[in-house]
Amino acid sequence: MKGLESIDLRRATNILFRSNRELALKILKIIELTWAQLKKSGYEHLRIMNFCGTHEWTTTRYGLRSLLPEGIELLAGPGCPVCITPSHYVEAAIKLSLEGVRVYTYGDAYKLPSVKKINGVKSLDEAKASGGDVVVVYSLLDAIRDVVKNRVESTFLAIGFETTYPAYALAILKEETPENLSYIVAGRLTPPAAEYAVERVGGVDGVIAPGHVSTITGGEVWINLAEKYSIPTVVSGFEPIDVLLSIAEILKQKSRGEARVVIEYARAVTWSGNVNAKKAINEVFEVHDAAWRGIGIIPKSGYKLREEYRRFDAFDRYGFREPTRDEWCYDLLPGCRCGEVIIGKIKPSECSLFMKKCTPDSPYGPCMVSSEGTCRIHALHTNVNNIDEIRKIKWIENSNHQ
Amino acid sequence: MCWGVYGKVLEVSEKYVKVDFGGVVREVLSSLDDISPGDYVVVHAGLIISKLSREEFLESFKYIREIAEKLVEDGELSREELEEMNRIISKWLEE
Ligand code: SF4
Ligand code: SF4
Repeated sequence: MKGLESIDLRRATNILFRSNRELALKILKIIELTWAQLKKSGYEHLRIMNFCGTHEWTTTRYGLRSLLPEGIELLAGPGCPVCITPSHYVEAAIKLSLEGVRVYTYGDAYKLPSVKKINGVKSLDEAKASGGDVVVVYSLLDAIRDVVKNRVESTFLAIGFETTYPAYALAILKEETPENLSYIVAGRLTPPAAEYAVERVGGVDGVIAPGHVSTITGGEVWINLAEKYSIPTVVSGFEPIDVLLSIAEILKQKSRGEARVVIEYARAVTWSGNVNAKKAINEVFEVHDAAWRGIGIIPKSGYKLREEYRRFDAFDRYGFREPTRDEWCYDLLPGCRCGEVIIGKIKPSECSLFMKKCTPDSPYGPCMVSSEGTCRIHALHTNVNNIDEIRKIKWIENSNHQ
Repeated sequence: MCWGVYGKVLEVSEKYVKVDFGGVVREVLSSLDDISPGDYVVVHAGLIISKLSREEFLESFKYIREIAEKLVEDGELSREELEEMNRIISKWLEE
């Protein structure tokens, strides 16, 4: 046997955690047996919520819902920073781009629709078509290089969760941010939203916690969910085997009457997380009560630049303002039920516009835009909820599991 | 939007880290100090957010083994099935 020291971990992940039908079937069997025991002790339903678009993608793409025994339900919670970015940030970005400030954005937010039209325009994509200065980048570094090269006045639509924020913080701390670049600080924290969703939806029995957010925050950040809400919480990786292992662990904790935080994604996540990155975020940003699109203000759920770094704030620089609790108004287009989809209260198919007025080619609401938006994932992979389709997926081919 | 991509570190300079994503090489920034060539890292939007741990690579299976042991004790699962699962878990190391 080769030692772990020499192995290609990328490849190993594929073989062991992704294309591993044999192992998937074994874990499914263990899940079934544990579930059967739980049912004997009186359980009829078990509702497990995820907080990450990538987990929802894995769940849907690999048809995990249909592979699980009846009675176990997987819900998609607030797991995508694009979907929950309030419309007022998008509107500010559109306005600036039309006024000659170069706006950098990640691809995911390029087509994100705003509620109000700005000069007849309601997304950065449309702004660009009307002559606005919009540049899609893969990373903050790309944007910084572009600013330095072209010496343009510019702003970065800084959306993201804990995973994305270290980059902004480090770019400021290491003095890499040119003075003519500012940030539209739209960052949000996941644990407050997770607690909000769990409270609103009610009856959540287990949580699959986001792996990449947790590389930064560490497993410790989920302790409230386990202790205050008594919900077994498993920090999970993103391959199908990871998600199945996490479900099995949640069932186990249920059967023992426990509620703990467990890190399944141990290859990438530690208990205290990325200490460097956390420190950088803390130095540059403070936490404030912030708005979530279609949901409203969630206490202590958003990042804001500290006084010393406020000069990089696009809102300060260009005279925009965050809405107060009283000023915040519902920011979804009529009929769009993203706010409920995001917290796992309804499934996309329960929205009457789903696949009618709102499709992946022509998204109407924000959850249809991002590749990790729940509506988009369900629109693109919806067939996978049927067992015949699942058989066509390579890793589960010839599965005799029903 | 925060897909994390696994890559292998090729080169570390003062500012940037060169990472190989299965053939595509990119310069990225790092939020960690202890990165060296040969490490496998998780990269999100151009930033190294975590280093993959070889020691912890198989830790994911710690809990499922516990569950399986318990099922064997309860007489729900046969010892052979548990061993079969362990065999599948370690099989890949030889591939
Ligand atoms: S990886 Fe991060 S941003 Fe991406 S879906 Fe998961 S939690 Fe959201
Ligand atoms: S289907 Fe479209 S309109 Fe309906 S909730 Fe989803 S994004 Fe909104």
